[in-house]
Amino acid sequence: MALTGAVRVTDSRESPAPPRGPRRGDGRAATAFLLPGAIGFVAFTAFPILASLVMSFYDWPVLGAPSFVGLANFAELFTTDPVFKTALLNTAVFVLLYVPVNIMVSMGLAVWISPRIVGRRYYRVLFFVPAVTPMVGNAVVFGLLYTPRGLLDSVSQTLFGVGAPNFLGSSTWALPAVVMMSVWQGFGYNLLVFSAALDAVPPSLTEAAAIDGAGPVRQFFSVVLPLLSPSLFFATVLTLISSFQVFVQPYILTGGGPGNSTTTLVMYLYQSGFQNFRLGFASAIAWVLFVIIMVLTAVQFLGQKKWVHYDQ
Amino acid sequence: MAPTFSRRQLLGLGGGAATALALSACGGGSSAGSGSDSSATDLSWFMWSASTAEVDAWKEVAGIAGEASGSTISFQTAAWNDYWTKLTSQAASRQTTDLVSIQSLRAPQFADLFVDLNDHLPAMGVSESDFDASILDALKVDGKLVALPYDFGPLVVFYNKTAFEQAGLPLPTAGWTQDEFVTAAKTLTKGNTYGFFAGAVPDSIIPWAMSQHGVQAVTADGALDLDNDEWRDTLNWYRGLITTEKVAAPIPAANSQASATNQFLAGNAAMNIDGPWSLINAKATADFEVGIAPMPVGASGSRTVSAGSGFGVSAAAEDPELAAKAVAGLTGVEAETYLGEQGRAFPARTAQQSSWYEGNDLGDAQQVIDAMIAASEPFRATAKWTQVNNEWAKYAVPAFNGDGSVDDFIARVMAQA
Repeated sequence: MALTGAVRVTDSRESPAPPRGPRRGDGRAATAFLLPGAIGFVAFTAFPILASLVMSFYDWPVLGAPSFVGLANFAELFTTDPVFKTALLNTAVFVLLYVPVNIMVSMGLAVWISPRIVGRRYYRVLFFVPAVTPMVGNAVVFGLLYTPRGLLDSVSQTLFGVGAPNFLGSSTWALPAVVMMSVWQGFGYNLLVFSAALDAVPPSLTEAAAIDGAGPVRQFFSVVLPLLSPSLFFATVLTLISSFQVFVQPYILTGGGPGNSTTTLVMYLYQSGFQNFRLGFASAIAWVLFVIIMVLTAVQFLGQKKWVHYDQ
Repeated sequence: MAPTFSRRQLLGLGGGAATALALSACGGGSSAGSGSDSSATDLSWFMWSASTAEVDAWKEVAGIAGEASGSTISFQTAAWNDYWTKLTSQAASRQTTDLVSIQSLRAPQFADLFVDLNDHLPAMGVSESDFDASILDALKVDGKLVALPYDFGPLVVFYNKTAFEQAGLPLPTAGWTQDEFVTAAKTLTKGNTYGFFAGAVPDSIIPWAMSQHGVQAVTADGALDLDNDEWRDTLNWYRGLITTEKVAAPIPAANSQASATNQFLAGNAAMNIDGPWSLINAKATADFEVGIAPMPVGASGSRTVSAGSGFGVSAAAEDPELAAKAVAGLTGVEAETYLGEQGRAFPARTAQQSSWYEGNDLGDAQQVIDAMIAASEPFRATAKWTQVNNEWAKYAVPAFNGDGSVDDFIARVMAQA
């Protein structure tokens, strides 16, 4: 809002009667500059999205001819399909566990390294390393840690005399184990966001609060956190979207098992399309996921008025 | 005015042109099978591989086949798991290579992707009788010859010879029984090592069902059938190896197929079910002596299944005749001898199998492999085998670890029929 206003003001001030030539020229140059992005967007985003929407109304096998089935794929998803509800539930549980834990861990660590402690830049790099390591590699290593007689099991055996559970082989533990690996992988990115936002908090405000008698906890919750709310909003929206799309972690760690206990929506989408050869059905799953994410993001944007403060 | 604009425009247009170039390059890359710009004798071939040494060997084979067929064969590759995902996306976009590699278990699923090689055999100068009959059969889907085989092998028992000798156990030989197997496994289970590796995939169990009851997961009529007393018995026995006999580790995760070989090679499991394709690598990698034994004798004898892979011609190939000739070259005497000597494949051509034994000093394995080939049936699969395999792996974990029931496992897998 503020931005558009500012632009309008400068416009009216600097070019009261703009000559036609340069204006048209700007338009052309703008088009030329936009063209690369636009072509990329159309070819790699808009077209696949539309294509998948069309495919979701077809029975589209990998080999052989597609046939139009109307809403049958969606109807199957919500009525007869036995796995979709489980996948939806698993994804919901994953999001509900992962998003809060990720935000709390990254925020906690960002606050911890935010005072002028020695070597905080090194901590930042250290904490960011998991986020830049390939997820497949991380998942393989975690697979080894989780396996019976792996590191976790051996440590627990030595310390407590009891073995750790068979994390990835137990229907109870598999999903929490996947969440744990994902948090380790993902917290570094949000930590950087929060860390930068914390640096931008003017010390004068916390000092003023301290003079008024606020302790560190009160300072954090009443002064710092409200100032962080735009970053918090940004981090929550992005983390929520990416956590709905979780795929690599269960794909590498558990293959969606045991049973279907770690089969997430994208995992099921992949299996339906690439292993069961039902591209139309897989597209229908993609669209359901898209709608869910869009609605939730919209709700977050509507809700931000209540708690996000953009002015200092 | 003019220079400013032209610079802007140049920049913009330059960017646009670069993008257009990049886009067209991408398009060209993904259509590398259609060969629209290539000369008439250029063929493309897609094959899985696991290492650069393997890639070099396949390129050598591509050279041999190219010379034999008068073509130039370009080689594309991907790791085993990615291969099937890529092949699926290529098939979906009708962009397959001219020559496509296929595993016998997946032949029913991908059958429509291939031309029927039966029609081309005379022109290819290939005689079916030169190949092992069981793997040739496994590459036929309803009579359609999907591909010509290059390798195959029966599933046998790999064992840790050093561990057997240290435990004072007699080495398993032809005629050893399943009771002897369990006894050996119990003796070898101590501390951090187990006697046997129990896997979550059909391949690890079907040889046991064959030896105990003479049944496979898929009947001779091509129907998935686990819902019978024979399979219930074998599955319960297998589960017992983990839960009651405790001679095998609980299954760590549904997608841990690869860990079977690793656990065996690391010395954590003294016995494992595997095929000749793994033998040379196992002998080279393990720091103990690797032996192979026939399946232990059960109520139906010492029986197993054999599977393998081959090369076929894509239905989208521009020149199927030339591609068929190239397939003849890829599976010809020269290529098979080379692959055998290099230890890359146990040749599907019976006459060339000696090159594998002699070239790799594996004379001692010959007796076991020959006997198990004779005692094997082609590993039968259905068109939905990947689905069956997935569901099997996911539900085998709770069923075999004792968290779920065998009946539930059977119901879940049978739902994929």
